[in-house]
Amino acid sequence: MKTLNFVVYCLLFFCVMLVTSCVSDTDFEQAEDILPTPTFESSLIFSNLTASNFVDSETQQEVVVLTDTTRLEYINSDFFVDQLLKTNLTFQFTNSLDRNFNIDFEFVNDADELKYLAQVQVPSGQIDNPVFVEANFLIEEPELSTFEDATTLIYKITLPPTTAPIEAETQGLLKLESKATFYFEL
Amino acid sequence: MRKITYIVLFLGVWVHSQNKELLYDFNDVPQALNQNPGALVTFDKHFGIPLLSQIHFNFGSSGVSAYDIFKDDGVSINTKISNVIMSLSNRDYVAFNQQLDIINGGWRKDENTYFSYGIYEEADFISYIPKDIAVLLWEGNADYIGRSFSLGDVNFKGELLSVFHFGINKKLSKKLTVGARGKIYSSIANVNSTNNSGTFTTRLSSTGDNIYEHVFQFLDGTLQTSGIASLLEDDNSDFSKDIKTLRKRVLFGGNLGLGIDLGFTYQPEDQHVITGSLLDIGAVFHSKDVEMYHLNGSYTTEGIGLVFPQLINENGTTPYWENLEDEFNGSIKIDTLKSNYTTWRSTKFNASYRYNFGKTSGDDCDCYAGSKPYLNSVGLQVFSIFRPQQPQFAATAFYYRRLFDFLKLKATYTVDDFSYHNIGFGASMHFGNFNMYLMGNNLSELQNISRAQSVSLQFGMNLIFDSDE
Repeated sequence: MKTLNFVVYCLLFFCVMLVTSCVSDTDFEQAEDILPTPTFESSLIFSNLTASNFVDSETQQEVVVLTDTTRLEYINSDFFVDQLLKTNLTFQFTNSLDRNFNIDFEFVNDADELKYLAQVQVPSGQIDNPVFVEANFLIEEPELSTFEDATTLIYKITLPPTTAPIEAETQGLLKLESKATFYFEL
Repeated sequence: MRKITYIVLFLGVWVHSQNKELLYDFNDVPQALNQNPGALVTFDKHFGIPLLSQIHFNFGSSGVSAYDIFKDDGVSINTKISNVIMSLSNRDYVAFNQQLDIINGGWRKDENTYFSYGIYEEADFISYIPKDIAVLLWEGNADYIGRSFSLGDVNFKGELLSVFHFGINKKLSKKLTVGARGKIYSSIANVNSTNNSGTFTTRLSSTGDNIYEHVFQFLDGTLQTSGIASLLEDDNSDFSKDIKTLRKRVLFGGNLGLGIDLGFTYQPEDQHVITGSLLDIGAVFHSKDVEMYHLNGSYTTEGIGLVFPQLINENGTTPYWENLEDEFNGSIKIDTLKSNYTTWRSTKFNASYRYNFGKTSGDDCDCYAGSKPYLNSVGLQVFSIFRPQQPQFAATAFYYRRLFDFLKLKATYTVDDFSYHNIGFGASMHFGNFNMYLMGNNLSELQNISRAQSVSLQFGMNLIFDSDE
């Protein structure tokens, strides 16, 4: 009889549990606040320039301006425009050429209109004592929206007037390394 | 994205194991034959109420519950999600299983032989937690320079199918009953992605040309689908046409497969009962409406290397970006194929030992058992299911009580991947020829179901006929 009572109580307990089962101490409204915020590091551009790059092969004279251009299709992609919260561009220069440079990174749109400009000055260095320069550019709103119109990056090196221009035999290297840190809000 | 994340996380809250520890060896309920075709059959005929003879839901997730994410504790939900992602491993999983008996019946051919048949619909899904992918998407790679994110963590399979089955239960001797059930599967839809490999790594440049290099190494991933492409690709927005298509597939119109269940009951003495079964030893052969996506290749990039060509002609600049895209697309291939494929069903294993005690003093007769029935049983059950990564196991201790002729009860305590305190309770009620049963587990979590990592419910109604009644 005791066993029977026990089982009956168990059954009643089960029924009560089923009837009263609930979800408590929780707040499912929090789902509205779910916001993944991944941060991605991405390589950007790089280059290694020697004296020959700065000397006109025909005139053997130092050039005034050197540029190269690449498209960066993703900057104005829908995903970036919609989800990018901010970005940080990092440019690292190692200069062992005995020559200073003014650097422009021009972000332009398809109509060649300038949308963002990052400028860096690189002092002259020595073969055995290269100069290291790191420049960071944090782009947030309102600049970001304009930046996101860009489709192309122009890496422009201007050589200021000097009494000691680079010659074909000049030793040394101007090295650029770069990355972008993208802060998304998905 | 927020919605998708929410859905994924919500699904992730629940896990299942397909374990029907309450129904197994609960021989008063005809559907116990589906768990062991060699179970002891104590009646002459049964017929399940169509669509209501077995409704089974089983949800579960190892490693996390809804409460872990949605508890109202003032901590940001994004912090809690981060913590959950970090605490999970790629051996944790989420799963869902649902079965609905469309038809279920059986009859006794002679004293020692019982036939049973039926059609049921089953939906089954399991996904191991793709931890590396989750970390990469949730946090990005910035804090994980040098860490390899593995595509091998992507491991899931899901299927929706109908099953036609016919079983024979044969009592070979007083001690031994065996059974087998043949099955024809008609797959309505299938998707699976297993045996993937390869990594994505962002690390410091090995050449020194740039700060980082991004390495896609030996990527090899496959997503197989059947029965899905035609539904997604058709231009019509007429959902009723899709329903018609699905209905055809339920009735042998899908990709077909074959399977078998095997089982036995060995009763060396009245009070000692040993049982075992292997369910769904079989495969589905996918040849209709198949589409397979195959990702393959390796690629490393340090970004765009500008070479400053001496002369830039009027045609424009060097197409660095296009070259990068071409190199990537040439190295990492994604092919869409129409190859046939075969999926093995997730085979389940059950075994039990039962000790009976306390005989009734009334006139009740468990006639096919040849004796008066025992009032009580205690025992142990083990369950295993073969899953893509590794088998899952569960162990159950149970107590069965024949309280009245019209009421049989079973209580279980189960230890599995989800919980060490899973208490279940089942009741089978018999009013004349009408039988109704209700079984549920994880009762200790019902007071706050959000804490439960698994929930299993079974409900059904049958008509049971016994010549002695």
